Amino acid sequence: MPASSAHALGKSFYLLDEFPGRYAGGRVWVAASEGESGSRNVSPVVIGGHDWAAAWAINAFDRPMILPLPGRERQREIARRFGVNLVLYALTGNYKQDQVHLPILLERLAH
Amino acid sequence: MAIDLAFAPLAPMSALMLAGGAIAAFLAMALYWRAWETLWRIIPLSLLLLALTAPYLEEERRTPLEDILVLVSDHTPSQELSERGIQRERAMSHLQEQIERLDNLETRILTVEEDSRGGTRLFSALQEALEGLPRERLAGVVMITDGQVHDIPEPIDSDLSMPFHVLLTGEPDEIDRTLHVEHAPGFGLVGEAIEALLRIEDFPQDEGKNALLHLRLDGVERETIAVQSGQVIPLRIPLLHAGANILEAEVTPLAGETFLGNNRAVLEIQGIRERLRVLLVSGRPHPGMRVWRWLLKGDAAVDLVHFTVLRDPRQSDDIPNSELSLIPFPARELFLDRLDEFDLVIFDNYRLRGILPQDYFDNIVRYIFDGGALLVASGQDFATGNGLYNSPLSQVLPLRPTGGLLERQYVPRIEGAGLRHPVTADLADTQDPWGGWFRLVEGETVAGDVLMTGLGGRPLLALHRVGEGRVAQLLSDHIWLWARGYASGGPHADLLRALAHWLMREPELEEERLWGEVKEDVLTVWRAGMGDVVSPVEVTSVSGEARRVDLEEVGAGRWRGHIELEEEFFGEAIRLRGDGLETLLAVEDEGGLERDEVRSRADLLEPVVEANGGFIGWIGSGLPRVLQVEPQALPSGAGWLGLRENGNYVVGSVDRVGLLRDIFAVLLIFAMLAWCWWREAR
Repeated sequence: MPASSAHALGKSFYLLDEFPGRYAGGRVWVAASEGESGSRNVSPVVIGGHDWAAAWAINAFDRPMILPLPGRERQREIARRFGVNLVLYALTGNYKQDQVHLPILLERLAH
Repeated sequence: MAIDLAFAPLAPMSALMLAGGAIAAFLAMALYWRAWETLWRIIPLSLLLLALTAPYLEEERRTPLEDILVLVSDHTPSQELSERGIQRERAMSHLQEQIERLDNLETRILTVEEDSRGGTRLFSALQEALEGLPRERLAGVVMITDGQVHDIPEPIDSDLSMPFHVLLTGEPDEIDRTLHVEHAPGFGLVGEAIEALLRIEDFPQDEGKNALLHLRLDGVERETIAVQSGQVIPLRIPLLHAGANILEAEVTPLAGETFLGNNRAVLEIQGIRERLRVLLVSGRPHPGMRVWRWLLKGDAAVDLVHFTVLRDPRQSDDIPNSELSLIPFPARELFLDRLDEFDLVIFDNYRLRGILPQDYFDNIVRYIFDGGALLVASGQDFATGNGLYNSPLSQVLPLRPTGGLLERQYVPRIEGAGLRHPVTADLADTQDPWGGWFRLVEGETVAGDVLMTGLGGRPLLALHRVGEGRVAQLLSDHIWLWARGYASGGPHADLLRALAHWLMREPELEEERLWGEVKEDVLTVWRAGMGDVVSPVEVTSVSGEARRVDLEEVGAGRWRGHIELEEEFFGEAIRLRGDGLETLLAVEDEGGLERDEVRSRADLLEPVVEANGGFIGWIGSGLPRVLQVEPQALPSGAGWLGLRENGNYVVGSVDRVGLLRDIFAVLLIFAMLAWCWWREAR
């Protein structure tokens, strides 16, 4: 299914509305899940045609190699943030989805 | 014995008839012509004809068939009360004595024990026995019972086509009070009250009598309430702990009561803990985190509160907070205000980084001493100065880091105490093909039991009890390799689940455990322990009966023993005691129907007796004589019961005597011919 900004990928560290790489727009695909908070509902694969690696690529002098379009440097920043989110998604799974329920859990503890 | 005349004709019957016709015609002609002299010729002719029909005498030797009496003897538990057993035996010997005087009577004795479904099922047993017997030979049925029969046929089926008699044990006007459990839940939440309904019934039927109901919860007197018979008594019972909560109820007896066993009842209600609350604090995002999440979120009994430190608070970059998906760690709320509401706190790969001040850790230590549970699973940070050992938690941790971090392959092993400890004992058999791990914080044992070891026998997993609380420590963060199935993987889920539940005091994972189960009337006592020997177990009933059970080792850290329980132990709680352990066990009454109502009664069987014209009476008021009666006669009367005389027989052999045979017949015929010749020649 296409990942919306509500997906854990959009909030696993940074808050992201879209997941651009060298190119922006288009869709990012994740495995369909049955429920939002299930313990195993972590997509094993994330697919997109955004050429993220190109946006992250740096040369031997730590200079970026390719200019992302159309957003230029801002888009590169967002692409990097997406990269961080992607790694954290892999490590923490749907942890951030939990945080939505946290106030309720804490509330429940009070009783 | 019977003699018959029969014929075995030597020629076809038609030919003989023809010959007979010829003789008759000859006789008619002789009479017509008045030839008196020729009439004599008829005699040899008739003799010849008679000889051809070969008459003979047949004699049957008959053996009379014995009639069959089926004696149904009720040996169900209710028959063992007071004098009933003796009465039953007296009736049996009286009947046998009477029957010996009768001819042609065979007795089949049918002893009926309690049915496996409970209750007295005399008619099913009778039906089964009758199937193998010829109906025309049945002389009748005599049942010796207390009248509490649970499979009495419907009126439409009660005609058995044979005399049916009942001799009742017990006395006609027995008094009995019974305590029934109308409704009771099998389980409830710990800390809440369950509702049960009891009812007291008096026999003979009498409502509104005052009685006292004593209640004991887990073997401790709880309350005595005034109740009335015939009314439903609602009870509210608080469940105090997880596992079996045992409620015993006993009602005061009536004067002269037959049976006190049904004045009490025992209920076992499983206390179920409300969802367990687990606080999981991950020090950093790492691959093992999802194993913890998967395990704890997938556990229906657990409410998980999970925090991961995603960013060091001291770290600063220029990104505005509004673009970060981060929430502040509610440390004060979790570690000061609400810590006691958690059943387990897990530090997963945590390092000291100024998020939690010293006094928060002091509070965690206090929480553990007061009965909390802590699990520390550590990775590389534990070996450094940022490790949790440099916090007040070091007071409660069983393993101390030496500072070394080993990053070589090793396979975790269950060893020593781990082979007996309930958390790991069951996994020990599976450990051969386990996959390897690659990280171990070098540590030394300060306290507690080491269940698993890593590289070179260094401690890997240790459990420890501190004050009222429990602590577990795992010196590697590589269990996720098992979850991923690296090199055939390992039992990560079973291990972590058992670990978490031991920490949260799951009764079945206790190291020293004593429990029992009752099947039929055998009590099996089980004992699990970490030591090499265990003492015998003392079994006591509330009424003070005591038995000793010797235990026999049946496996690593497992012992077992059996005893048979007598009647006194049923319908109440029994206490198992040994090595300072104590367990209560509800011995529920298996014989529900047998004990519910036990007074002797005639009214249940009367319709069947009437339908078959039989005799019914209490053994105590005199035993009837036994007579044999004709099939059509009424088979009972005052002071006697009748058995049908069917008069069946079998033919054993047949003797034949030929009358006009062989040379004798020939000589006779010739003699007659000669005599005719002589007469006519004169």
